[in-house]
Amino acid sequence: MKKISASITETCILYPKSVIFYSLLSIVILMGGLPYVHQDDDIINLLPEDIGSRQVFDEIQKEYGLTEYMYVAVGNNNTSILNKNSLKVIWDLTKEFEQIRKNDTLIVDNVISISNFNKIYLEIEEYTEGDIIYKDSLISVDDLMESKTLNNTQIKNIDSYLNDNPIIKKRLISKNGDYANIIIIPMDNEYYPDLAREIHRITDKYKTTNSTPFEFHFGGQAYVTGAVPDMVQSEVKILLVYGLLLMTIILFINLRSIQAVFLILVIILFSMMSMFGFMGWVYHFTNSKYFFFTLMNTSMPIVLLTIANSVGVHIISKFIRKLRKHRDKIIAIKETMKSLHMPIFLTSLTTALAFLTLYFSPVSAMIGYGITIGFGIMCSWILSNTLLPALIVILNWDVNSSAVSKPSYIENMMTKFGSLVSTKPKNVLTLGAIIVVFSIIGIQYINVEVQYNKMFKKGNVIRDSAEFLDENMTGNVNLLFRVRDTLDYKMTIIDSSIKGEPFKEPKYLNDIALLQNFLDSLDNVKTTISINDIVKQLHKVYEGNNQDYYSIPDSRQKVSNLFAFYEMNPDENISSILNDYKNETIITALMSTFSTQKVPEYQYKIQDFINDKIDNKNLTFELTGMMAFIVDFMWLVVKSSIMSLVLSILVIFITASAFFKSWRYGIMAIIPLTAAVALNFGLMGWFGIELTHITALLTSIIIGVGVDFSIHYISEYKNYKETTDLDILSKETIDSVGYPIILDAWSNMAFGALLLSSIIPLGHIGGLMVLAMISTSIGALTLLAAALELSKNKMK
Amino acid sequence: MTKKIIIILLLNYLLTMNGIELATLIENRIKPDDIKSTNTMTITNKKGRKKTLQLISKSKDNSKRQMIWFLSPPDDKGMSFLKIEHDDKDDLMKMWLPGFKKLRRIASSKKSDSFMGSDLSFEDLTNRNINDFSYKLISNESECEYKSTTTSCYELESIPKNINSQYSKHITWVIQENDTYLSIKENSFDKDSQLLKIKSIEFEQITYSQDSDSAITNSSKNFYIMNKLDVKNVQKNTSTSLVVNDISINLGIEDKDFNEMNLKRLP
Repeated sequence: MKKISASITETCILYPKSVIFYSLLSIVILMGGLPYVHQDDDIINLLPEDIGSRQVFDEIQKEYGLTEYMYVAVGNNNTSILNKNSLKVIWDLTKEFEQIRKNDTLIVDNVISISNFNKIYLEIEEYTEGDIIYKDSLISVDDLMESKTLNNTQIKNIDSYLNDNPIIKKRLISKNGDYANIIIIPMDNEYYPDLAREIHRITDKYKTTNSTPFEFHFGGQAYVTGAVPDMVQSEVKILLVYGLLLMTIILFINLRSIQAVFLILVIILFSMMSMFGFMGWVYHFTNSKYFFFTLMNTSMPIVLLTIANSVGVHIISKFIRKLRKHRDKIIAIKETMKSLHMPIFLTSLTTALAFLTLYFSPVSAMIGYGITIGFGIMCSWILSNTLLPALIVILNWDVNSSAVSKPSYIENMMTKFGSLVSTKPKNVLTLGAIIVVFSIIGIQYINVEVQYNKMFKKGNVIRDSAEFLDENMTGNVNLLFRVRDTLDYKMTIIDSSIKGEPFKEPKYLNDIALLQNFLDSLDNVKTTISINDIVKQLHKVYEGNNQDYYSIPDSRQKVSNLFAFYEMNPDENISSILNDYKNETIITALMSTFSTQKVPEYQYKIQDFINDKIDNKNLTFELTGMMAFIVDFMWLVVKSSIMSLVLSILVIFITASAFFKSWRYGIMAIIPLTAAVALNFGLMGWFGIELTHITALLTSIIIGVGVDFSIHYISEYKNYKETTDLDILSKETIDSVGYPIILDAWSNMAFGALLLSSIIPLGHIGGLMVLAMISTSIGALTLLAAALELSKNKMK
Repeated sequence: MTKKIIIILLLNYLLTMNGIELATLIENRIKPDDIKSTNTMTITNKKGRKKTLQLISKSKDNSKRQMIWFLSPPDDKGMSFLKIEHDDKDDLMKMWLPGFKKLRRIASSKKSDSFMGSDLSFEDLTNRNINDFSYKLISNESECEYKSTTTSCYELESIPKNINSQYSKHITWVIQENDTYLSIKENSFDKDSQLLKIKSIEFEQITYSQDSDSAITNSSKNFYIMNKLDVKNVQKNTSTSLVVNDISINLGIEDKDFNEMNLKRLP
């Protein structure tokens, strides 16, 4: 290994231009894959198909169509929406939304608004038979608006219909009557992002062209799912550039050499390009969805950047110190590569292996994530061993410059720090241990939250709109309940000619009504929708629009007759709520935004109610909805992160033990790592930072960077142990390796720029990144250093 | 020679036939005074799931007066429908829902509504007044499939004029059997000129003799009675098949039999 490394370094020194040429050629070939990177905005694709709540959800979508909607509220504060101009605009918007297409494919399944809502009503008609004039009432199912332009009487009729039917009014108009709700049902969840963009494009016209511009608010889980990826990606792009700029400045302040900073950035950027190129090629050749660029992959540049930066910083800072000592760049690079080839290989290998453990993740997107980052890390290792030394060789280095001749202030600081650790290792270790233990206590206070409202700061369009819809409309989220007569359902699967049709029985509908009433009484529930709404409305209308009959009819025949009658209407949508065999139905609870922590609470409450109040044992109730399975998904990500963490630590322990030829070093390598993880998650608990599927990804960064610091320290420690007196061993090690570790950590802290994001979890990532850098670097230079100092006599 | 001349003259006549003439020939097909039949209607939804209805139909005057009673499924048994078409005023359509023991009129403006959840609308069940359409003979030598045989047929376009219709036009394929012109297939287009429904029709020849139930005498008449109708809604991807069984004709049903009282009890 040493010989191979020495020979590579020798080649770089003798033929630097050829090495640069072939390195660049390889990068260009890899970059050829960039156009094939397949961006996939469909968050649903991230979710494993075997989550229980998702299976129910998918079955519901298949049977009844999409149940997650987008809401557009249009109107003006304190101006009634029921006026000619506003109704015209609602009519036009409804028509435009209905026609939204992507590449000529219609991507909207249905639009429901005040303009086209099906009103079921009695119409009085006069007719003659012979000479006699009869008056008769007809049941009609019509659009609420007869035409785009309405006269005052027609508007008044709409108003009185809505007042007669408050449940319908609640769905279509805000509680003050100044905003109308337009409900958009997408054709497929893959179209959410396109639909969100198109809705903005269409509504933007109405913000400017009218004499009184309309206000718009957008919401619904489908809308957020569609709008968030664009928002996250554009924020990450901007903040990543800020972070990179800040990192460049920090590196320059410390290295004081433009070309030194340039070389580090070259390694970072080329590693990143190679990684994404690889991702594109793999997708191109395999078409595997594991290699989609999803919302999760947005964090990949930050992760690789920190790791590639670490490699670059260690080589460059070591090179400068060697150059200061030998005043000859060839000797300096030879010595640098000689002393760093092993730790750099080891850190790259362990980090890549740690990421490859994501291969066992139940979240399919994480599999591609792990493989791609693993490849990126090995690319940065190869470039650091080839391109970087070759570039160092061809560049001119002024040995008299202050960058080379004078140590930086961090180097000076490290000298003092080294003395402290070597003289008072017990105190350092005790203090570190106390901090870690204190942090661990905080882990129990971690809250798990994926509620999107909490993901955005006030002022963000999604949060403000969501709050508006929560306050004035039927909210933003929904929970779905699938109610099924299990026995009849199983029988119809065996023989579809069996027509039990239990949901024609008044008893079954009354059971639904019981549950619906209970749901209506829960916090956050704005309104509920079930088959009973249609049955009751038809019953009332059929009985002469008598409100006393807004109830479930008392016989199966009546219910059946009403269904048959309703099914005559060409726009009937009974199949979106009741299955064809009438043995399964769904209840939708439209709710204002609530904490995901409440989902299990609702589940228990509802189950208790069903057990106590509903004696029909044939009925099964299942709770689902995107809200429910995102919670399940998030737990899966957390479990996956924990599994990955344990596996990574195991891999790091085995690899470090093997390379350092002692299990004791294996243990030492994982000490700062585990301490940093405990510190981070503990402080998240103490500071009330919520655990989301985004913040859970931080574990990867801690492992990636933390292992680097540990291995560099141990490697340097071992090197010094062979030549240095044990009394000054720790001091010398910290003196040598402390500087690149601190510089690496400090420059990575530039990604604290993410704190500026309006997306709160991204901001948390920024804050936690700073914390992770502090904990991993200080962990290596205190806990690890003190532990090694205390056990130096036992370590070989 | 004479036969050849007659054939040539006849061909010439046919070739020069225009749309309205063909429509008149279809309209003038001899029909029985009344028909009673038992029908099976199978409705297939877009998921491929089927629902089968059994019904009895009585009609008179080329279905200008019609009553339909539902026999099954059991939940729909007793539901019935009455239709009386008028030339000079809106048609009368009523439904009887036995569960409520109430009759409800169906607005004539609701002709586009589905009949019992099938792909047939009330308009499809209504006779077309020949004067309500403009006609164009598209082709007199089209090829079409009828009862699994390829045959020559006419292609006729009908466009509604000044009437309330759910359709913008129909294209009908017409075959000639003996002296009778039968519409065997029809494509109907919605108001946006998009294809909405494809209908396929089969006929059964029934010989009727006043003198005897079975013997064919000089006074016997041949009627072509529809015995199968398939409708596919291409936009909704649903279909309906209506099979007509037990056809009885000229039973002497009177106009007054089409009343509300009879609607309330199964025949």
